[in-house]
Amino acid sequence: MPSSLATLDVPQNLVARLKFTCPFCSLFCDDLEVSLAGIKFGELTPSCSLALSSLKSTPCLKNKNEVHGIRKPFELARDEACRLLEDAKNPLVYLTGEISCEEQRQAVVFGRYWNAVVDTPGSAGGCSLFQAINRIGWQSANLSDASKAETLLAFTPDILAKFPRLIHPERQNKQIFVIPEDLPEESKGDFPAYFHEKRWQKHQRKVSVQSLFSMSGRSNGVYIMDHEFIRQGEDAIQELFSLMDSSDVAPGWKGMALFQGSNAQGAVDALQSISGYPACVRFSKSAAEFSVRDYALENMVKNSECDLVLFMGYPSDLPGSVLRQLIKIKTILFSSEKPAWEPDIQFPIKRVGMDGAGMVIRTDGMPLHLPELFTSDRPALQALMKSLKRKRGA
Amino acid sequence: MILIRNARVYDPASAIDGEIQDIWVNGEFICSPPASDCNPEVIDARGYILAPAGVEIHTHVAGAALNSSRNLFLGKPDAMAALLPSARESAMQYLRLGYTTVFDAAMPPSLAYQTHIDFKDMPCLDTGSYTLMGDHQVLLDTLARDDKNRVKDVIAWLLEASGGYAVKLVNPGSGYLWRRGRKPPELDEPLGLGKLTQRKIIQDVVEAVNEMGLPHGVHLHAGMLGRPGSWKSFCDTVDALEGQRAHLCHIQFYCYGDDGQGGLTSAAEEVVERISRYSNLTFDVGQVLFGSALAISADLGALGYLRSLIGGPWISRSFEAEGGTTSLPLAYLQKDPAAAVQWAVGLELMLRFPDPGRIFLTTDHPNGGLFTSYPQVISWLMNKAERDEVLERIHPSAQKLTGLAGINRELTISEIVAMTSSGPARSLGLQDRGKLSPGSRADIRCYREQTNKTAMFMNPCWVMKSGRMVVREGRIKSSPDLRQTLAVCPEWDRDRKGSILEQLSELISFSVEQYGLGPQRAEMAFKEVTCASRES
Repeated sequence: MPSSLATLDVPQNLVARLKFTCPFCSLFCDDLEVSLAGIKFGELTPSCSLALSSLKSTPCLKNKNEVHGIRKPFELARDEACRLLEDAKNPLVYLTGEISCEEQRQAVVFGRYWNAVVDTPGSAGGCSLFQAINRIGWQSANLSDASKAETLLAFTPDILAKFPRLIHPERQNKQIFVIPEDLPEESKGDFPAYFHEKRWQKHQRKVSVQSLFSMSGRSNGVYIMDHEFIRQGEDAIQELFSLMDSSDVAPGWKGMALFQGSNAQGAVDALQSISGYPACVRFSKSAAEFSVRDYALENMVKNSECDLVLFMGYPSDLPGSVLRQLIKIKTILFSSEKPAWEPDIQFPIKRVGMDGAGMVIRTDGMPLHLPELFTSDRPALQALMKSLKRKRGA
Repeated sequence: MILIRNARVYDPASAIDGEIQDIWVNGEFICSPPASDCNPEVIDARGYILAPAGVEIHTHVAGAALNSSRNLFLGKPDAMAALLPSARESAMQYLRLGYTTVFDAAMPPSLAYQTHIDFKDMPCLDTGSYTLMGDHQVLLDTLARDDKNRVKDVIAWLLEASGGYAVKLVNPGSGYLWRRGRKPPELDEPLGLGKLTQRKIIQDVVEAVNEMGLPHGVHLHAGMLGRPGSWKSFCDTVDALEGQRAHLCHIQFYCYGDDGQGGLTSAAEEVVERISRYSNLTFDVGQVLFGSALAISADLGALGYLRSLIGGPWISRSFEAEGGTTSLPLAYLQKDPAAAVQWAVGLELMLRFPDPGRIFLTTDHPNGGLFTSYPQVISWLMNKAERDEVLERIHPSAQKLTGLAGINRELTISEIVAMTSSGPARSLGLQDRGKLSPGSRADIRCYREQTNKTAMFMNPCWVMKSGRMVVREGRIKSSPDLRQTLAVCPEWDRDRKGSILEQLSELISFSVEQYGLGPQRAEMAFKEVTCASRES
């Protein structure tokens, strides 16, 4: 298995402009162009701070297999990974969003092959968020609805940082309200009363601050919810949703969930299609069991209920509390990102939309194909999984 | 070469009704007895019933709508496993029932990828899907301009872009109005797009599809689904087709009178009288079973109405340039008067309609109930005493407000085969299946003769797909993947593609090259079913 440095197609002395579908957040904007000189990315138009910083860090990504932080030939790393897998009594496969739908589906099948638990970021936030939306009964919005809406109400503190292009500069007339995730303590006892007193307005980090009353009667609005937000207190959020649905504050508005980790929606979809369940599946020889609480990465690692984590994708979106837990457990990381902990084994892999091509699911459920932006000789995740299975068979 | 010897054969397409015969199979197909001696593999079928494998014309087992519906069942894995099994598990269940061809009933073109990727997980099953078009903005605008040639091109483009098999209209125009906060349209109510009405959408699209020679006529989900008094509106829709070829789906949900207090009565007799006038129409039933179900539909207005009645969590999604889909969990309870009437109406329809080759057994899975309940429904259709026993224990409205108790007809095995295999195959324009004559695909189911028809139809002794044994005594046999995705490729004026995509680009937030299957289409293998216009 080759593992040399990633190579880009453009010689150092040439500058090329490439059409670019951005894989760095779950909006997957496809109207970008990036300049490329050698292995360095330069100007990005239209500008996007998140995409630009991610592109610029791309040449620094890992491209060598490592065992305990030391570069090793592929065969040695693979044999060590197989040994860990064979020894593991309760392996857990965790899928994040930086790999393609095809790879995510194969990864679920891989988890089934090894009788593992399979979890995705969706179990911690996205699925709960959908549940909250569904319980209230909102129509879900798509990105086109959001871009055409007169008013956006965003339940997320960092909408501009996390999804920079959701609010395009050309949409000057749009009114945008932002409610931070750290809801004030006094709101949690009686959220409707709190809401009615309009005290929430104090917490707007405004793009354009308006009064609550200016929202009344506007039928063309979209609520946007970052899935991190719901982790702060589901009860309070439920009450807020209920209030908005039942009152005349914003009749006919639609809701849209924002998935973090680009193709996290694809990971949930893969789990659903293969296992029939959206989150946290324990495969065994005889059956598949399901439990969000028991089989979630965070709980299993915290309670030492899994003895090996196969982490597929980029771990940077995970909360620090989980990352700290991963230090205590054996881990095999399939990612080119430098992690915040030292995994037992790391295999660099292609990233969809950069040196890999494949399907992704946008935050509103739209499937899109991301082409390869440059070539590298990092292996695809599928090839690695196949190699591990073949080695076991041998 | 395989010789299946001394089977009791039911092949309604060839008017064979329980005769003892030999069936020869060569490769993937049924063949005539060989002229010269050969050394075939012999399967002794004495005492066994042989019929063409089942063809499912209307179910929901694949695609994005199922995945989003699964979010409704977080923490309820047992309910989810029953109502929304994985694509692979659904395929296994269909194969074990003797079905080898399954059509998923609704595929939004923009989300076609998820449907096809699920099909890939359904081994040994031939699959296809109907492309949703009744609320597609490009088609509606074209219809409003009354440009009939362009209508055909838009239909062909949408089928090609999505890898679809047929055109699906779901209460057409209702999604367009729903997105604008308006209630579903009456048949002749202007939508606000010139003079466009639901009647015109239905008539023009049906006409276009028939002129294009698509193998299956328009697959039509009419308006007023589930409403008291819906039968009149449904019959108006049937009349609006003016005798043209089409398929009307899950018609049980439209055969309701009004008891004067907002409750349901049966209007099956009136509907059967009306639909019997049109020989070019086929129907599937959408039988209701008692127990948990999941309403899953692109009829945003109908499910919005239903949710206003029963409440609870639901999903309502709209798609760019199209309508959307909704999902709402529900239950049909034996002691509920409406559910009891619905259960009886479905059976009434199948027993009253004279031609089982034009009315097909479906549950609109999982809307009316699970497809795994087909054997139970078949048993009710074949045995009056069994359905009378149910009538005795469910809400009395089923006896008082429907005509089921007065129907003595009991369907024969041949009639059951017609409504589960030869009829759907013919309606779908699948000339290679649904029959056991030489040249047909060797998709065969074999039953041990039993008086208990539920047990008999639940457990085929074996099932053959394309000449290979894929199920034996309920166990799936590993075999090479015999799966095919069936699709059509009608001729159209590709010079118009540029202007169609230009129109689309105003409506969506991503590149038009990505629309439908996008670049993935080239990598997907389809089995093309030829359109009549191309044959000629």
